[in-house]
Amino acid sequence: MKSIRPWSLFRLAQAGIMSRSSCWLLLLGAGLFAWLAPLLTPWEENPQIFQPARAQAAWIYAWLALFTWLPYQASALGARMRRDGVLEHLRAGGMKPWQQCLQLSSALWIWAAAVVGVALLVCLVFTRPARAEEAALWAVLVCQYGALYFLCAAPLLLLGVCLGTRTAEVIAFLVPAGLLLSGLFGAVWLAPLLGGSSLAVFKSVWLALPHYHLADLTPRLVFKMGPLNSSDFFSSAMILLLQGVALSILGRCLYRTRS
Amino acid sequence: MLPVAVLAWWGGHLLQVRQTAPGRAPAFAVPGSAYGSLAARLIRDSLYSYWHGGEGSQALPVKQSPSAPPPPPAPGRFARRGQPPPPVKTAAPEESAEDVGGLDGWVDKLARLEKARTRRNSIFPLSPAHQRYVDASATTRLKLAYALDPGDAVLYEVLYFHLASRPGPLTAPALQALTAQAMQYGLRPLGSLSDALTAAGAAINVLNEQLQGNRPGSAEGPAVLAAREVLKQGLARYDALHREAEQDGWWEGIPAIRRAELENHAAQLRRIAEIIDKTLPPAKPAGSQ
Repeated sequence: MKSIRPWSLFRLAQAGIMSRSSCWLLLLGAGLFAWLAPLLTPWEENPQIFQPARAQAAWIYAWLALFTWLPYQASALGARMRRDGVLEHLRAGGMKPWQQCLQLSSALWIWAAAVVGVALLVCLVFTRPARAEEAALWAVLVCQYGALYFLCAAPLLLLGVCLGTRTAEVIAFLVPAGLLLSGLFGAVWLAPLLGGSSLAVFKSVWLALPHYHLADLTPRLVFKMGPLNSSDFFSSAMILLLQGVALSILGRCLYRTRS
Repeated sequence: MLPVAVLAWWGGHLLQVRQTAPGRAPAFAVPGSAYGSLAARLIRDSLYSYWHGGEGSQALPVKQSPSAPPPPPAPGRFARRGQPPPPVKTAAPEESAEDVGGLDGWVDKLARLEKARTRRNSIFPLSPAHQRYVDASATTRLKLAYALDPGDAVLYEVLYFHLASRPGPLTAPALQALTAQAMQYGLRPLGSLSDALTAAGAAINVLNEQLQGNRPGSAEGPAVLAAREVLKQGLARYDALHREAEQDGWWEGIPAIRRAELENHAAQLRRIAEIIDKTLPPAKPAGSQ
């Protein structure tokens, strides 16, 4: 059997997500959260904190989505497709597992990109600084943040999809969320203990943790610290990229088409 | 393929990155931001509850020195910093609650029940070990709240008072670090009204500390001169921001109760500053030290 249309699995997955319509709630929630959360803060006493608080809310929402909705949908999608025998069917039709992986993950990457898009919109349209030079720096910073966030999100979602095709949905959801948790919070909390230790073993353990904290540029937004140096940015991006490649390879090894 | 994955995972670190171990940079920049301020206010309820050993609110110990902090504000979620302590509870309102009928009566009854929920009925006092636990819990909450909102003038004063009231070998350095951080944070560019008051309060604490015991020559020491300068700058900063707020119209946007608190706190600090100016020799202009 030959698939009639290109990217048929992507279309199928996308139709499945959109027919469940929680994806629209996700985007609506992003707008509402960025709109309402700053109003809860005591901004009346210091109006200068209001716009940074809005940008901060938009990005916190993006990270929250990466902890909850996105990995959950990834694992559910992988499990659903495998259970229904779609993957086996397409495999028999000649579609390579790599292609299946990519097409299924792309259906999630679009929504991760949409959440980033909302955050970019909030930052570039609603909270842009008044001075032109500062606004240019702000735009660079926001684009850097978007790129780093996506470098974190894409491999985690791919891993979620692949795990979904092999194990239970809950496990496939918890593994990417746990990796993200350890990379965002664990690596920073353990830094004085492990990274600052004199023992090479502890240092290696710390280096081996995921380093998603490198992608969290929220402090630079909130305290208007300007964009990262390009060398630092590319180093961070390279670390995240290579760790993402490793996770993707791991995901591919775990991918299973047999229903 | 898996060895490739392992290589890729480690590969990033082989690129000779200038990746220093990050300090305690918290995720999502919550401390010091608008949400940190919000969270610090939300922690207050439980902080006061522990502070008073589970009870709602009480009159606090009398202040010892002119620069002793104001008592912790009455419990309440929003905009209650620096409130004078509520009047001591009397039985009067409870009696009158029985008189009114209808909706008001029900509301009063519910309020009474809510108060009764946190009233101590046990005839036994807290054991020393339990008291230590409650104190430690209050301290943890206080430190967390102050870390979330380092510009909160009242939280700063309460924390300073709390640290200073337990003497030990580590007290002096801790206090020094706290005041230095508060002064630096409060006078940073783009600080708020409350930040400026925090810096001024910290300067007064430093002066109090330095001038203790009337050591000869202590009034001309560099620490004293620097603190007087910070005090002057903090109050000037507050006044400038206040004027700006009135001109731009956002002063009226601050809740009235919060405005009154800021003004009361500023007035108190100004009074202490005047006393200091009267008692100490006139400070030389800044930069002459």
